[in-house]
Amino acid sequence: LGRRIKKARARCFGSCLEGNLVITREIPSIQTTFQAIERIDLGDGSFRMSFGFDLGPLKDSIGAIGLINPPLIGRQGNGKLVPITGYRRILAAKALGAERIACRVVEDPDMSPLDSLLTALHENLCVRKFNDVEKGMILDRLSGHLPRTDIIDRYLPLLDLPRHEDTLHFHMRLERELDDDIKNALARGRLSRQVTKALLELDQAARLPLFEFFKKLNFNLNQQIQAIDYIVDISKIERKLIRDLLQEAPIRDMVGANDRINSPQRAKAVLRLLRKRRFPTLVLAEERFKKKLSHLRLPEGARIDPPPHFEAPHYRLEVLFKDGIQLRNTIERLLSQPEALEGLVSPWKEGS
Amino acid sequence: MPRVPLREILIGEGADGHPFTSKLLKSLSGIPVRHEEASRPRGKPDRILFEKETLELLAYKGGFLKPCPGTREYICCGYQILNVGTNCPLNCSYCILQSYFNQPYLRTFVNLEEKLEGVLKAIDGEPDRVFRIGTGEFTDSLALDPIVGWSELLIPQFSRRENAVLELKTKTDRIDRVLRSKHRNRIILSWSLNSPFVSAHEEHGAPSIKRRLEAARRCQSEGFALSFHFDPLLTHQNWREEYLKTIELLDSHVDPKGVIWISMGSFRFMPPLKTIIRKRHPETMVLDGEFILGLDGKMRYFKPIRIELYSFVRRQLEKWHPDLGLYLCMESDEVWEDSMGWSPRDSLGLATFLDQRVVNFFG
Repeated sequence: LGRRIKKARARCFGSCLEGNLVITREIPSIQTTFQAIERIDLGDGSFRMSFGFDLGPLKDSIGAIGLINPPLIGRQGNGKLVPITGYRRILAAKALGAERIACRVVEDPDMSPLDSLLTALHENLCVRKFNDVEKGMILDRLSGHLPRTDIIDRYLPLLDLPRHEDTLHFHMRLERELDDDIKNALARGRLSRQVTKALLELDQAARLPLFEFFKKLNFNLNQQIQAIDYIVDISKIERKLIRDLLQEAPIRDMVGANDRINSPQRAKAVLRLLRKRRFPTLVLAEERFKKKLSHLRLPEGARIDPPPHFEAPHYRLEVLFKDGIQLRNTIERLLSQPEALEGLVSPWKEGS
Repeated sequence: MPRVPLREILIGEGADGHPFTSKLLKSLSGIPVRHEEASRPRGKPDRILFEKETLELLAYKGGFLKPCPGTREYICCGYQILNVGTNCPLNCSYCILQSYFNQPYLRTFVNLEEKLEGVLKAIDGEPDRVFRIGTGEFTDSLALDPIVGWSELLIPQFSRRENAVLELKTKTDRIDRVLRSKHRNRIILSWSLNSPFVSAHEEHGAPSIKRRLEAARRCQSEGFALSFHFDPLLTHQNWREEYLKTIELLDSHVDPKGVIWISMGSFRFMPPLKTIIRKRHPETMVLDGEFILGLDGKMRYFKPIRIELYSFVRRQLEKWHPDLGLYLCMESDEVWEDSMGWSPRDSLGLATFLDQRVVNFFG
């Protein structure tokens, strides 16, 4: 049996990698037996590559028609049973109240840990997409058995990742360094990869308060990126711990202002507060410009916008009009305020 | 032994057996030599692992003379870069080279001598044009000179040309080989300057401003023309007082009449550099300013901050001497007007201004 499995694995994985398809039947031919679920060590994550999943649909499926594909279980030298494939199926069966489950059990000497890991990987690979956390789990486990160059060359592309050392490094750090709460948010798309990278650059004492801050404010992904950038910068500039910064009165009060404003408004207000602190000169210039513009009494249908960050030389005047007469009226109304128009200068030049 | 700490020499593509390689290996005997693997790792290497103690020798296949990569959104000086190598043994926190090149080593191009012929031919082919050429854009012009000795090759060639100048821009005091040259004409020795605070905290491995200016004084006394570059200007605590200290040092070391030009540029960087700087230099203050996305896609200080920086340094420099050939690097017409009191209007205008300085200086 051992030889058959190894041969099968070699052919199976050879086929996946080199495109030389060989269908193997050796693993399915292992006899199915029933095992007590409590004897299977679900806490052993050696070959697990599932994270942040919803068990509901699988439970419904097993509840409706039973288990179609029995999990593959490894029996280790000490007699311990560990899941190789089908971790979620076992969980679902357990959640449905099953005490025993149909499995195929391979004995320890028949399948090396790497064989088991690759079996689990390839079983999953063709039927679903892995999230970033799962990719991290796989790469981290592979790193215990294979040289980094092999992982970069062969397994990053299999996981739809670019062949870069830093991609491997990032995913392994995800698995090793992040708390489950943060991993969950990433796996469920509530945290972007970019923000996760930024969180990884922070120490643990900063990471968790920041993550909690994000959760409370329900930032969208773009807002998360902006917020983390502002917060890290402010903490560096003011030499303050991120944890302490987030506890300061104006931020804390705004985060807790549940009764006055709704969640998106709160998120925007906090971002404005942070931006003003990070870019005081720029925000002051914007405020001055806005004030100046308010003195202009722009006719209906006309608007004036400064260039982004006041960097380009030209401001933009936009006029909506139905016909030439309306256009003339709008322009005349604008020109009737020469002093206000001439006062529209770069905000930092006011009074100079 | 060279004054540049080298851990390894890497023989790259086209360098094996090249006479320059043989000569260099002979002078650097004792340093381990490795031949680059035929198959290089795919994808970009981790740019954070910036290897500054490996010298890679290779034959460069691209053009050796290229215009400075200016952008049309800002006024560019029209400088030409003679590409002798890339990266630098110094470790300035703000260095754009950290994100510029997708390979990590100090690189020197062994085929410079044979390619120089084509460069000189191109220069000679346009006798009415002034070529302002420098080697200090992608590397420090003199940091590796004790090892590679490019100055000995380049100085005589450029010194005898009537329509070109060669500017060797450095933060080091590695001037021995330059001073050994008997040529002076049309060679400009140039130093990057900053405030003493920036120099001490951000320019890791570089000599102090005082040592740079002592080297400049020596070069000036030996008959070389000088130039200086206040780039990147950085806002920091007491930046006015700090930049003033540098200008006072300039005053005490250098005769301003021997200065062909002084440029000023504020810190600007491609957005991905921020992460690299944060990682490589966690204690840096160079990212503390109010940076906005410029019209060229680079981050730069919010406009009034740049104007304030330039105006201040310009006023102080003009107090030192009224005719220093001051100019701004990659700035807008508006910033020129507001900080310098005049504007060349466009890149052609600035190039003309600097070309005229060359003519006035060297004839």
